[in-house]
Amino acid sequence: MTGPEVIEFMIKKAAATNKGFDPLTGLDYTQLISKFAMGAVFYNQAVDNYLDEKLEAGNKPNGKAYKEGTAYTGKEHVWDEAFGYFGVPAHALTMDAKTAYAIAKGKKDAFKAADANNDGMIDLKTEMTFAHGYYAANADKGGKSDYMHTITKAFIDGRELITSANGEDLTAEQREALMGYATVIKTNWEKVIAEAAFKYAGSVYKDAIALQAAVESNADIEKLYRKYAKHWGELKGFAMSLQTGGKDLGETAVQLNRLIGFSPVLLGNTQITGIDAEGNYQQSNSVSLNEYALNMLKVQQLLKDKFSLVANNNDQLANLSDLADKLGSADSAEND
Amino acid sequence: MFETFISEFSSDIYANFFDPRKRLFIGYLGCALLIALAWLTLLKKQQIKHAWRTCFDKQVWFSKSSQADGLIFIINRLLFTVLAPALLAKLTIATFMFQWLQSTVGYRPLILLEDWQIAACFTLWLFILDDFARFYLHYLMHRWPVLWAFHKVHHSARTMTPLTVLRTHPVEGVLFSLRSSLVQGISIALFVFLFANQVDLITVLGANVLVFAFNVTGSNLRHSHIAIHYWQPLERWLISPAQHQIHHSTATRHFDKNFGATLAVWDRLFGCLHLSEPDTQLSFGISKTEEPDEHTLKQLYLQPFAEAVLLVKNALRKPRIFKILIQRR
Ligand SMILES: [Zn+2]
Ligand SMILES: [Zn+2]
Repeated sequence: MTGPEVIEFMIKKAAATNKGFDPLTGLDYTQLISKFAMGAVFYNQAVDNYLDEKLEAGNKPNGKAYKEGTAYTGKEHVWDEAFGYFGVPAHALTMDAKTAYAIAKGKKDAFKAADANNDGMIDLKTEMTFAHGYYAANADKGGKSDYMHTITKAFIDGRELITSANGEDLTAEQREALMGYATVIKTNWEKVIAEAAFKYAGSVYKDAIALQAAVESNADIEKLYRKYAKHWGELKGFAMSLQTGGKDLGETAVQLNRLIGFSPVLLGNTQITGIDAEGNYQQSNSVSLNEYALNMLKVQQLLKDKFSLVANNNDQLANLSDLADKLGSADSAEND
Repeated sequence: MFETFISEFSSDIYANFFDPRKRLFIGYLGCALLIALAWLTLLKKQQIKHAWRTCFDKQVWFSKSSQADGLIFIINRLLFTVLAPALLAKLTIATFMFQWLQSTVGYRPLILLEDWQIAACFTLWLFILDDFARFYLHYLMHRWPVLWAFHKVHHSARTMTPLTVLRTHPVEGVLFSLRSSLVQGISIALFVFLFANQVDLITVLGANVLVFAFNVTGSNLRHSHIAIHYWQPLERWLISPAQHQIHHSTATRHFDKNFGATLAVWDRLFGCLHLSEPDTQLSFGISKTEEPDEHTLKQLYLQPFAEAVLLVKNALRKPRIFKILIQRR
């Protein structure tokens, strides 16, 4: 299925559920659709369309207005569209990740920082943090990564380069420099999505373990199950988004799909394994919640390695490496 | 390439003297000197000047044996700068162990303890397990002829200074590094499995507090000519510097005694503890008389391989051992 087809299928399925959640399969369509659409629409449009073929010389040239009568050129329009999809405030470089994050959360004390033109309102088009811009800020606010600024700066530098051409077609050199900025944007944007998937894999790990413990002690599981399903929906949405950037992730995609599956593992150790010709889900026996939790650790490892992640929020094995560092190198033989 | 090698090598050398997790940290060396001076002046009634000269005895510090210590230190650090990345990292072991534990046990246990209780357990556990592993590998180095061929390099020291602790054949260095990674990897995995993110190590200047205590109290005097001994009942619990010097003694009755690093209990359990002999003047080395080529690089680095190969060849020739090898399969 193509991206739009997947979304259409999900929406159809969601319509048949109560408020977008199907407890029988553990699928939280609200999360799945919102997180996947962010990839399949925003990310895909930006990196696979605007920052890809639309940057080619003959496509939306800079020597002409985008359309008759517009104040901006073709290339300016293309570049601005891509920036719009990223979802950070236009003045993101002047604020830190924590502030950008607080703006999205509607925090009162972030209002002043958000209101760049001091008109007493937050303009949703230019002053709001949303979509992957929000997740970039979320990853960065721990202080280990700087995706939001890196991406925003590449957008702004690229935009200045286009403007500096004064409405002439870009030279080969200028276009090459522009492609350089586009590459920075693409690779970091991909990392932002991978960081989000990484974080939710950590949540699913914790939820699966808590759920199994609750089942064994006959505790109330309803809330835990709901939380587990919600986090899984987010994880799956982001993991699928990684595959919408127009490049083939190959073995990584195969492994992600195999580890995460088509649904969370349910309490009876079953999981959706396929869809029949009529579009009904087929469930079959799968691993235990405990084994599934271990899959999440492997998902984290895989994402960390393949996308060279640095923020690693919610890293379930962070303490292993922290302690390993703390103990220092073992290569001197103080053996007496 | 060459530049990164040089910078890694020099930071490795630097760490050996400025990282409080290392035995030769200058702070520990300073402590050892103070303790030695106090011992010599207060208990041996030497004049302070005399005590100072005893500590820095030129015949000890500039002997052929000590010069070899220095050379071995440099060569080994060069070797390990190249080798280090190839050695099995403790994080790899820890990750593997953690996943193995969770899939074998089938769930994550939830044990509720205070942070400080967990940190205290982890710190103590690591110290004890590490000390036992040191003891046991050292024990094997003496027990197995092939390993002894390499461990002899450490015992070939005729005079001892704190640097002698690193007078080891690189093969032994690799074994001890693996031992350390294994102990640490397993311990980290076990504790994180049981106590998740609550696990921490109690440290002083970044070093395990118990290791710190061991080093501050004169661990560096184990390899020296200052025979500090403890009150005899204490020597049944903690190995004193004099007891380790006995481990290096050329007297036959001292052979294969006191393998322990910090705790004496392991030696007691294995029946090889030997208390210090304050009235005996020890001489260090493998044999009573010093051979002229004892401290040549060829002897120190290559001879062990030659001996080991010969031992393996002989073992294979002996049908009895060969039979056992076959039967085990
Ligand atoms: Zn020794
Ligand atoms: Zn020994």
